[in-house]
Amino acid sequence: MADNNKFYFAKSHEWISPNSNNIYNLGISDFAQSELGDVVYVQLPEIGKQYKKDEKIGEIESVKSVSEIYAPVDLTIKSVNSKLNETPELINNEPLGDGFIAQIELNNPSDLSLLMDKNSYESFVKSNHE
Amino acid sequence: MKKFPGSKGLVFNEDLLINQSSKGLSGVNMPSNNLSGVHIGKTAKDYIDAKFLRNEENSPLLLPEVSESTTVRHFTRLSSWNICVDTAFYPLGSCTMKYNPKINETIASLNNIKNLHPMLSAAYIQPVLKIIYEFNRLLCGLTGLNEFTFNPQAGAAGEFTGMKIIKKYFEVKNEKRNIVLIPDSSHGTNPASSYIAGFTPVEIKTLFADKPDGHSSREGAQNSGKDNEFVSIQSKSKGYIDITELKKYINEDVAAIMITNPNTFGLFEKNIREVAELMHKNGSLVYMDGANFNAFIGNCKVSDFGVDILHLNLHKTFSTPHGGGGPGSGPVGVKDFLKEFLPVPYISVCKQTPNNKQAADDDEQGDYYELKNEKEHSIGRISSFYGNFAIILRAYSYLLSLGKQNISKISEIAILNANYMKKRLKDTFIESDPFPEELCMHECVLNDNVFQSEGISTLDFAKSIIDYGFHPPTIYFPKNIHGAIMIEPTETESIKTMDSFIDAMKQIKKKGNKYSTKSPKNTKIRRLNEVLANKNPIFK
Amino acid sequence: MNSFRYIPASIEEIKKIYKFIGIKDKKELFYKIIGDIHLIEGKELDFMPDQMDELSLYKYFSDINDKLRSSGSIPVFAGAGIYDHYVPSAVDAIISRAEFYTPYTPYQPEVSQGTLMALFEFQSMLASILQMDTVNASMYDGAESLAEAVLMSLRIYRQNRQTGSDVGNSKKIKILVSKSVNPIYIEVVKTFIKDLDIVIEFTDIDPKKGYTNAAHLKEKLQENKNICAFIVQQPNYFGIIEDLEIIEKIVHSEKSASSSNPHLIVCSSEPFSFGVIAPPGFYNADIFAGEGNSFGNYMNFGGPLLGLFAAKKEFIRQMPGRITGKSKDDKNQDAYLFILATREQHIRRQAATSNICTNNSLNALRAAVYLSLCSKEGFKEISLLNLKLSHILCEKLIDTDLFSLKYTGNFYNEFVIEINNKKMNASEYINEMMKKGILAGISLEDGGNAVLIAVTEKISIKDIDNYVNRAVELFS
Repeated sequence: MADNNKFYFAKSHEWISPNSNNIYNLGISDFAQSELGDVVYVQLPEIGKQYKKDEKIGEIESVKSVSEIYAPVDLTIKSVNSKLNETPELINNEPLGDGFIAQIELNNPSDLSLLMDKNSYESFVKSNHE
Repeated sequence: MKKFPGSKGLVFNEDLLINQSSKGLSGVNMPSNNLSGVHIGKTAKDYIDAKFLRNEENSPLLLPEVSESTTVRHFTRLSSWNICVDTAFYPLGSCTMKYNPKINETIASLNNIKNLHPMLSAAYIQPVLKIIYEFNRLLCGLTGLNEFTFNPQAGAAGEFTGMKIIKKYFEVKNEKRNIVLIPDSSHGTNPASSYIAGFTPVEIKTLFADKPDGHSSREGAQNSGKDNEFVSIQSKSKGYIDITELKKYINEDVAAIMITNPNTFGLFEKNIREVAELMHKNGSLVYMDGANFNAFIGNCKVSDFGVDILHLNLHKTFSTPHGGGGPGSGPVGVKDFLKEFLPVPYISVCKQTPNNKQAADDDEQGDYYELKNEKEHSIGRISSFYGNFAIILRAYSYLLSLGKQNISKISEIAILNANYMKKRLKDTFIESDPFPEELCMHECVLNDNVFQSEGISTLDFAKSIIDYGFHPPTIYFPKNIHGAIMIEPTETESIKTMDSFIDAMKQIKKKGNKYSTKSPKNTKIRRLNEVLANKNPIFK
Repeated sequence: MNSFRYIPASIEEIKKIYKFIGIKDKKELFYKIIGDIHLIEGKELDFMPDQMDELSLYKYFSDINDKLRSSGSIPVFAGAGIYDHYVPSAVDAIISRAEFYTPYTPYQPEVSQGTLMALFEFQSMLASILQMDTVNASMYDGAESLAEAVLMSLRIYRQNRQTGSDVGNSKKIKILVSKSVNPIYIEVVKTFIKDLDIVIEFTDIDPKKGYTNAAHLKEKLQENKNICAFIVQQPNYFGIIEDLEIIEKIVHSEKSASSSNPHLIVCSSEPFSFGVIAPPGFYNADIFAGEGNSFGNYMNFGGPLLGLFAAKKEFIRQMPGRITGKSKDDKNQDAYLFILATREQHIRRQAATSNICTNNSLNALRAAVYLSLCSKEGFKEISLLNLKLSHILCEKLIDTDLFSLKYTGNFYNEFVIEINNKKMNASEYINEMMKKGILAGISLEDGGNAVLIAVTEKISIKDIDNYVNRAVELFS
């Protein structure tokens, strides 16, 4: 995965990170996965579909809770991480790596500015959840 | 060392019955029915087209093949793996696990009563209709409402029925109202029931914050998804609906409020009359979830709170057994102006005439009970017949056994017991009591502060107390109390039992997390792998 | 002396608690909690009867039971959704164990393995009888279960429509129901869907045969674009066996404008039939909803019953109710627990697949014990016996020339006859037969002459002959 270190975070705890040729990976943060506990099921977004910012694109279930996954920006789903069907625990083990949820295209590239970088996200989490 | 009820003993192993099969065995012998020779030899295809028949090759029938004795031993061994009200203190908050009187079981198993077909004509079932009618009258007296339907089979079905009644009420008034307000501390059934009835549930914050959620427990937390944040307004903590907050949600689209009283913190909704007044002024209705009616029975009428519509759980307040998950019964009571919307069928009473009188029956008052299926504004039918009659029967018998002499003792002692436990826990658990100044009603709630400082999670505590011979309290509910532990002793527990439970709680705290994380140890099985079960579900 | 037999606190102990919590008496206790809201006192409770000791209570209900002799202990030839099957003593003996009937829902699996393993066996046995992938741990009754099946189908349909590429979203969703489905079930379905922007349409039945008119079903499917499901009952309300093979082909192969075919929902109120006839799963039913009361449960004047719910595996996350699963504990022993709880109201609140919480677990347990006792051969044999006895009665009644068979399709243990003598309608006939100590059936419609008659293994040939003789007497 290219440019591993560049992560953009949303307040709803999703991240996107550039992969290649305008394609970005999308996933949930380490904090989010730790709050959820052991992930047992992921309802993946639909390939080819366009979503508006803050629209629900999927769901993650642990044994006793459900979390919705929101579009952090206006986006189009290019592909999904179908490995999660068999091994949803990837989200717990590698939330920022192999536990990504989908590959997307930004509908408005300038939207990136709406998101937080790693440091601001970390302090956001710290101030809101501790 | 104190003696607790929990102990070690021989625990039986028992395999699935299907694994105990021997080909051809069965636990029943066919009734002879005096079938004559012609019919004995016939097979199914002598009566119906062969294309309809079940075929073992295409549709194998995987039932056990065992004798009666094997079946009885199997299920008896299984039963020994359960904790139940009759074997242990079961202080499950919000569930009212009181003693289930045995006479009620005897009555419900009387031969002619349990074998009644529900579609017999009214003339032949007068005593049964009279029971339902009389029970209705008693519930009206106890709640101050004007009529009950017994058709809903459980609490959630009662909520659904109530919501449908509200829908119909506004439909007939030609008003479009889509919102039902529900405090965030409510049972999950409330938003679910109002939603399937076609409303949009809107959550009202009760402005109660126990403490902000930094590290929600990974295991066992019932509701702590990443979106669920605790409101951190410690100063405003009070544990009931805040009028200023409520006002923000009131508008012309609000059909009703669904309010649990006493609420899930075990507290009386102090503002309930003001809430009702505000709602009524807005043209909205007040629905009360009466799951916790054990706190009021015989002492308060819900009509005095301004409630228009209510459901009760006969399997809670009215002593009918929970059956390991059901059946229950969730009668719904309404004020006069909502009667016309109640579901069908319903019972009405008239005077006996020579035409309707049945020879075998002679009602002293000369009343005759009819079953009616039509009502212009009824919400319609919500169950196959008349609800769970065998449960209604038990509950009626319970009320008769109590009588006017004892009915008010139930809630009085339920409240006393809960406050006794709350106060006795104070010396050790004061830091865990979110409402140290308040008297609770039928149950008290603790957070996990004290246990957590010993490294014991609420889940660990719950699993530990099992080994002491108690069923755990309700845990992680209500969700806005951190690591909630909800204790409801009910009126049918003695001081000795409550003392023993409290001693066990203190001992668990003292022993610390080394012990508790490995609990329970004396049960048939140890802690389960829930992740495995949900990732790769095996359900048959 | 304690104040009441179910309360284990002596007067002294009650005083002790008051003293301990620092409250004077009941008045103060309530005042501190409810303030100036009215506290019920003395005479206000006069609407309540006097307390009854256990003996009086027993006598009171025993009298009622005696009064019901002529309706509760007579041969029952009435069905219409609830059937009078024999319940072996072993079922009652097991169910009367407090370990089964007094616990709560098994949310703490370590102390509830008995209930959980029994429910797992219930699910397994029903899955095999119905030949469906997944069975839940029970619903309330057949009607409510069917209503939940409709909601589930609607949910799946909406999801597919949302994600599907086809348009036509503006059209109202329809649900197609055969007129041979139990009318009570249809009424309950109507109550559930009333405010949900969905309409019901009906398919006709063959007036002679009594089963769903396949041609009309085909027509309906072709002219409507937004059908989420077709509901058919097996055996149907008139006792007639539906040709599910033909129906399934029509429902699942019609190319409608939606991205997927409508669901085939099969309901049943007499799953005992599946000991003889092919089960719904054999015909690729998507969802099954029905009444399981026939398995080890009493009629109880209509409740509690046993709602059965089953579906294809692919729909498991859309199913309502609790599902029992198998796992391992820390010591790698087999262990049972509720799974996929995220579907349920206590976690997902309004987004849950259903509002159901308390179900009819103990009735499911009765079914598990009953089916275990029957075992494979017994189940098939009792099922066959029901079929035989109903055909024997039917034949004998027709032979009297007093009745004609209304529907001539193949039937299981229930059938409809018409009274030839126009002077007596069905209700009058049933009433007259009641006077002779026989519950002769159910009147199919008010003022009509059709009687719906069911026969179970509890009926002997003697009962059948008695029925026929009394009927002949009546018309002579």
